[in-house]
Amino acid sequence: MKAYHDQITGWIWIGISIFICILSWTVEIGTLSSPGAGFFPFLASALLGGISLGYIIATALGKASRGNSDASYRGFHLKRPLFVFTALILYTLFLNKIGYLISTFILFCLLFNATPSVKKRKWWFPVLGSFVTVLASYIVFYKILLVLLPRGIFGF
Amino acid sequence: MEVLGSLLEGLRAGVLNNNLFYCFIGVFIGTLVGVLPGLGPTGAISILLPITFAMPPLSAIIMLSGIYYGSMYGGSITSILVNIPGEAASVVTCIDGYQMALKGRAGAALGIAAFGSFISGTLGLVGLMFLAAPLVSFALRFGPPEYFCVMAAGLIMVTYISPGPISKSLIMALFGLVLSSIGIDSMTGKSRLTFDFLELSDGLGLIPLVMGLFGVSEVLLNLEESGKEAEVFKTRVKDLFPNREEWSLSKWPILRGSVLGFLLGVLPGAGPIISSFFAYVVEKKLSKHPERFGQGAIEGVAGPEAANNAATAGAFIPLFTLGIPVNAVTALLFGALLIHGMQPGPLLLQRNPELFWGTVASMYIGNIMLLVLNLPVIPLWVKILKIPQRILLPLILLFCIIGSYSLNNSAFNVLLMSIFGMIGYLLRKDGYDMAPLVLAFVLGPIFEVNFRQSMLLSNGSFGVFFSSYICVIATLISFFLLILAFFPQLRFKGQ
Repeated sequence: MKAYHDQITGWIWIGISIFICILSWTVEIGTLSSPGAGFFPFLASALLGGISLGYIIATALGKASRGNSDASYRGFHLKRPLFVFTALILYTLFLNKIGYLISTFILFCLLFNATPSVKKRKWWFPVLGSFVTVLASYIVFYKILLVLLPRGIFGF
Repeated sequence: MEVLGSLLEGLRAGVLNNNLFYCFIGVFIGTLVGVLPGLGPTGAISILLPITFAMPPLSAIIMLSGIYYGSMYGGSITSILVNIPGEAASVVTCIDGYQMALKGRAGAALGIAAFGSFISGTLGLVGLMFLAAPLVSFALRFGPPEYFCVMAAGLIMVTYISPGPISKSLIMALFGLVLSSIGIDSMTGKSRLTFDFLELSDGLGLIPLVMGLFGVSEVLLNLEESGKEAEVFKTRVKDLFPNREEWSLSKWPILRGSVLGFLLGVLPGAGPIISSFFAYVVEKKLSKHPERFGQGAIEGVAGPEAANNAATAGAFIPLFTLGIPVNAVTALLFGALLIHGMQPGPLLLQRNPELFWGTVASMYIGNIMLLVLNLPVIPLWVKILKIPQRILLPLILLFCIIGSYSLNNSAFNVLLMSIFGMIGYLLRKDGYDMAPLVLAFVLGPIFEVNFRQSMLLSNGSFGVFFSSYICVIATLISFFLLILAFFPQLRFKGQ
């Protein structure tokens, strides 16, 4: 399972390497005696591709080296991380539009719900927790430390 | 005599301009992140880096380095009382520290960890003071090829020592170099890899990158857990001063750990984690009763705790004298110095002696503060351990969001941080180590300039990387490590 997974990530790295090589080439590679702006990223990404290819071959032949056993592999449980990541992306898109207070309050309601807990949560905990956190952070950062936070269309 | 005079000047600078306060805040936060499992000094420094922008450079470095060495102290508390290392460098302290706690000697274990850390931290600083000046005069001989070769050797050493397959570490280092080349090229003024985003013209910001890779990814990783909270060892912590017999058993391990930790701390990649493991192995080998190790031997706590603290002092030598960070934390300190307009390297000691000596002096003061923080207020740290994750994780994310937004009041930085958070989560889950990536990203621009200048000087000949004995030694070390990494069967049998 781990070897198969490593091969897939290896191919992703090769894809990234080819993409960066093409982009660097378009910038200008130059020559060895006068390297251009694209020389260094080209060299780094070419080496990245080469090592990834070597790694794919090594895992295919079962020669993966130290610390890469199936036993240490616990797989991905993407549900909660993906939920929080999507919430963060949406947050950045709406932050300037609806302002810090409202957008962060909504984000934290979602976050307090998403974080793991052994005890059963009361329904009001995420709402109250988010309210207190956002208000405290607003007072500390905006009022006391004078950090500029987006006000949004509502003006706060 | 000159060194003592400079140290006195440093002490004066260290107590002026609220520096004493920043030192206290640094060691306090350091102990806190050391106590809390998960969030290490790298994550804490990356989250707090934006706060230092308004500070004078010396105050910023005093606070950030306080977090680094403070976390080494804090890590031992959880190792001994909960059997969970708060910090990776304290993993080995769990073995005998927790056993001592089970036998009712938690106080002595905590005491020897704190005293050992204090003694070794102080000895490490003496080494830092006396070695810095000779190394600076040596580093002044470096030209572009020498810098390139030494940086390459350092980077390869870090990838060699990183956990997991060497290929993965190398991939991380190369990915870091690619990321560092985003933005306008400093030599030709051409824009590269910016995808027409104006915000990327100045390159990727260090802060959104590290906050994402360490802060946000840590939160995402913890979301997978069950939310179970740490079970604290239920006993009254008493007799924090070790008795005469325990001191007698610990004095040589502390001294050996200090020397070993300091020397390993100077090497790229080795740092506090490896030095603590190494010190444990050495103590077990030298002991007349090795069977006591694992059953609550105090030497198994004293040696590693001394080693990991001395290593933090050692890590400052290459940073301040050569301008080469040796691990992720010193890479962040390197970035912080650059942000504050300071160029780490041999000229730093000549142009800004107050920065170097002020930092060294603050470390002496910080070590004393840590001793005071660690012994009488242990019950407070134990209480902090009980903060539930459902409160801690959103708070970490809040600091990351405000920190990255406040850089230039741009939501784009928050977006970058979130993307790197997901990338960091996926990479860490897949067994990739973040240290080579961060180190390569920070070193990348200097690495590239020195490489291109070397090629220009030599008219495109790679022979320039063998043109001096420094280059030859550094290049041979790089090749040797790469050969050992890719052909492990060539290693000595006893290794």
